[in-house]
Amino acid sequence: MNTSYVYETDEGRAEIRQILDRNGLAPMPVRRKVFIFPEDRARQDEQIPLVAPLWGFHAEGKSYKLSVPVQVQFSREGDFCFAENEQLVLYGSGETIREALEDLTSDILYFWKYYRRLSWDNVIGEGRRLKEIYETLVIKEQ
Amino acid sequence: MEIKKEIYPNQPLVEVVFEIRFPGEPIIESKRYEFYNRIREVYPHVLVPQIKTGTFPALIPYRFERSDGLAGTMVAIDKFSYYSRQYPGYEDFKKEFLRLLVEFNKICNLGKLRRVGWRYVNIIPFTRENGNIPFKRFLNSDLRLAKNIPDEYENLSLRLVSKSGDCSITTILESTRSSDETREALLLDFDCSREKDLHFSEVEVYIDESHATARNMFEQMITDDYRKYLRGEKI
Repeated sequence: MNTSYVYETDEGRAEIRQILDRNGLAPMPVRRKVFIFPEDRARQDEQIPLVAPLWGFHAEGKSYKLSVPVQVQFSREGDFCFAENEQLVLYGSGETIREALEDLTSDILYFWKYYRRLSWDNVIGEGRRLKEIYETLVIKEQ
Repeated sequence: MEIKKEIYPNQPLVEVVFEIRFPGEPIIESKRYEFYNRIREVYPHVLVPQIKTGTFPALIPYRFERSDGLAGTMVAIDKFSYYSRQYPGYEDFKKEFLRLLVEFNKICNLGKLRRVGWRYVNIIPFTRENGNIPFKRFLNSDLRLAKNIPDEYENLSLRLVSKSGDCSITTILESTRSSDETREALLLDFDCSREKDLHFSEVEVYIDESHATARNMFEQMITDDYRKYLRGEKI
């Protein structure tokens, strides 16, 4: 025996808690607010940021749907949350994950309108690459 | 039943387990080291259970795990399982399970089984839409509780138990988040088990059946849009 560890053996829910914990998650309380331990927060900060698909968003009082999901990477630095997409070279920030996402989606909508208005004759290099992405990214009002 | 074999590049699986349970064999405790010795090159880490008041130590499994923690096996006097946290695809998973089981059976010579179970644990990250979980982007399931209540939810916590032939399927669907609130995901956990007329000699049939049930259920539950995302279609 070269290494020894101890693991929790509570039946049922403990297994789920361990799986979630390994992935930096915890069951979301339906009624209660989650209590965060300082050491838990420190551990979370070291973890790889989450990457999640974005299929739709709410902006300017309307709901929009994307034809292809935009992959959003979330992270936190100090008191700020960030939501970014590398391909679109965009990021949103805010005090909460929701604010960061709203900041990002308003930029996506803005640049989608901007690049679609722009003539092909007026774009080269990086601008051309972005226009190609926005041209195929169909945003429909739901 | 046609079984999908495609391995998705963006698969949400975080843990896959196949477990067999059998009438208690006390010899497993005394020969546990022999089993460990046969597999220690691949599974060198030994995880010893922490015993709590009111539990029975012989029924709580030891874990023998790979040094990177991505796969391992659990043994107790009445159960044996193999788990993977980086699912290599069904064929490789099954091959390794059966290899370990052959080694395990050298110390205890199993016959009648009491239960077999396949578990698929998925963690599906999501971004909220208008403050709600966009579960309809991922899942075909209709979670509407009443006509006049919109099926848009801020949080979810469901546990469903159903029957499909001889198989009992427990499905857990729950929203989760990290403590720093930067990460949100849906937990989708399937547990397909059988308990009647089981014999060790048929284990390969049981693992095939359990896997097929769980995989088909997952494929039927997810939307085409989410399947495209799992295949890598994204910006």
